[in-house]
Amino acid sequence: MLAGAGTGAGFAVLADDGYLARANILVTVVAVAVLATGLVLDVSVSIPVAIALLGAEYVAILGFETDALDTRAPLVAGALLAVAELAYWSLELRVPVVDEAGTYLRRIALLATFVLGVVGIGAIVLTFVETVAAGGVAVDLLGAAAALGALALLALAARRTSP
Amino acid sequence: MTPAASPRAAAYATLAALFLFAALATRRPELAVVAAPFALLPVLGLALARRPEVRVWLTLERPIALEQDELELQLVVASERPVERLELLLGLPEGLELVSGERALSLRLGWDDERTIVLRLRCARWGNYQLGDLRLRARDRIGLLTWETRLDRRTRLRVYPLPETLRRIVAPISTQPFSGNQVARQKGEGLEFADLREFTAGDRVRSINWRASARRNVLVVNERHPERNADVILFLDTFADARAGGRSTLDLAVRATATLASRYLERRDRVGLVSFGGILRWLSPGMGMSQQYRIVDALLASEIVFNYAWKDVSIIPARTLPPQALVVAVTPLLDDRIVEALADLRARRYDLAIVEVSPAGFATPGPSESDQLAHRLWLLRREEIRARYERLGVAVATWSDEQPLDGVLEGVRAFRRHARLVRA
Repeated sequence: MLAGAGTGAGFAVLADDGYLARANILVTVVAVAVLATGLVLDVSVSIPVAIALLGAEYVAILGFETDALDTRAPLVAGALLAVAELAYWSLELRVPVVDEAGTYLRRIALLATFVLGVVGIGAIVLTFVETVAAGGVAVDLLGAAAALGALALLALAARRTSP
Repeated sequence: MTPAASPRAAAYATLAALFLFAALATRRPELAVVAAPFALLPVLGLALARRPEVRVWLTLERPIALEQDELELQLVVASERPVERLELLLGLPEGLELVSGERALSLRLGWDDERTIVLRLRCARWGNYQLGDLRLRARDRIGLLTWETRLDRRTRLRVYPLPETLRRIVAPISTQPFSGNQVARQKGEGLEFADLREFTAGDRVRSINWRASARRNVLVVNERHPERNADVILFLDTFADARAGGRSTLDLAVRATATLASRYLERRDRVGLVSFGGILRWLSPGMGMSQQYRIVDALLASEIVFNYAWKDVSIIPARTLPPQALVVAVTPLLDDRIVEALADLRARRYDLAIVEVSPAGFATPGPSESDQLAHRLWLLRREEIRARYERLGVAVATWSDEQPLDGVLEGVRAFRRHARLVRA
């Protein structure tokens, strides 16, 4: 929850326009409330909803205030992933299972690896995009391919997990 | 093991799709970067996921224990492939308590790894237990896929009731023709002096009482009481019990019955069991250690089975209640059917003694005046039942777990001595 609140506060700070900053604070409060409710009531669906709300704040900043390529995107991606992972971890901790020594350290190390990897890969992708300055149709194709990939991923996951 | 996607997998895929569509709609590649981790993690999870092959063995220190005993349970978990997180949950039946170790724990197994988990259990209550209900849940490295299974590694554990200390038991009035430890009322070959009588042809010379013969001027011989065994029927009431805080009158009744069976069998008596309740169970009288195990095993299966049918002693097979047997009833006297059945047994001239497992300690009166009045009336009703039996010449000993059974049975013995004098 603290990570979510911190990320939301970061988006409020990033917004130059006072109106947008206030709107981001409001959305952050809603996102944290949704997250808190989910964690208290053990409802995992609240986590993607909270992440989507936090992501919406960034979309608003990009839409209203930034025209140039935003180099902070990898950090945003890392922050959102960290919030999601920590929230799911806190739900997992509710299961009354005693972990063997070193489990938490391994989990933290894995999370740090993910976040650093995301920031690194994001930076590379942004650099690539900036370098080739691919606009218009190229970006559309990339986005469409990525969206289709995500849908294919869902289908694949459903097929793999069916008994 | 049955695979299932964790809620994270679906949530991440949805978020990735959402951010990618937002990237398309707003024509911002930054949002594709934001979507990337949520898309990459499920891909990575699916690519790295391997079905775990986990084997589990369960070993119990010993298959038989006494109430309050502690014993060790070993759980060996092995896997040829690495399992990032394996959650184990061992189902423990009610009546067994965990003293040390964890029944729900997670492990990380490497290549060809084997772990031994030691749990220490305390047998809190007698009973027949089946141990080995295991639930396993394995997660992949990223935690997006889980495999669950339920293993049945059944191991039987019999927990015998803890015997009560009993120095003396209720002696039967009548004995059987076989030798035992009970001094019979009849006269014959034995150790205990009974009487003097004049010598008759066939009497052994060693039985002549020379002093008495000298005084009477005729040959007088000693008569003795022989040592015989007796038939004892333990009559366990399973119609109803009183329960509170994990204790019940049935628990106490089973403990008392097991103790009595053990003590009577030590005296070489023939002991039988009638479990009279919703379900009628019986064991014909027998002797020896095997009969003791049979009785205790039968007692472990004792349970209260709710039943409205009116039952009396006529449904008990005749050979189960031999004539002249001592019937020791262990009952909380809560059900009218057992109250009437015991009175019926007495009317059929059975030598009857009742150990009343007091339910009074299990029923605390409510706070209101009417509750307390009802409680007092209930106690009065119980006293009336006891008085009715005493009028029939049946000793009733009221026993609770706060007092030793030995002391309670002393009251029965005293009553029976007195009752015998009255009959004489």
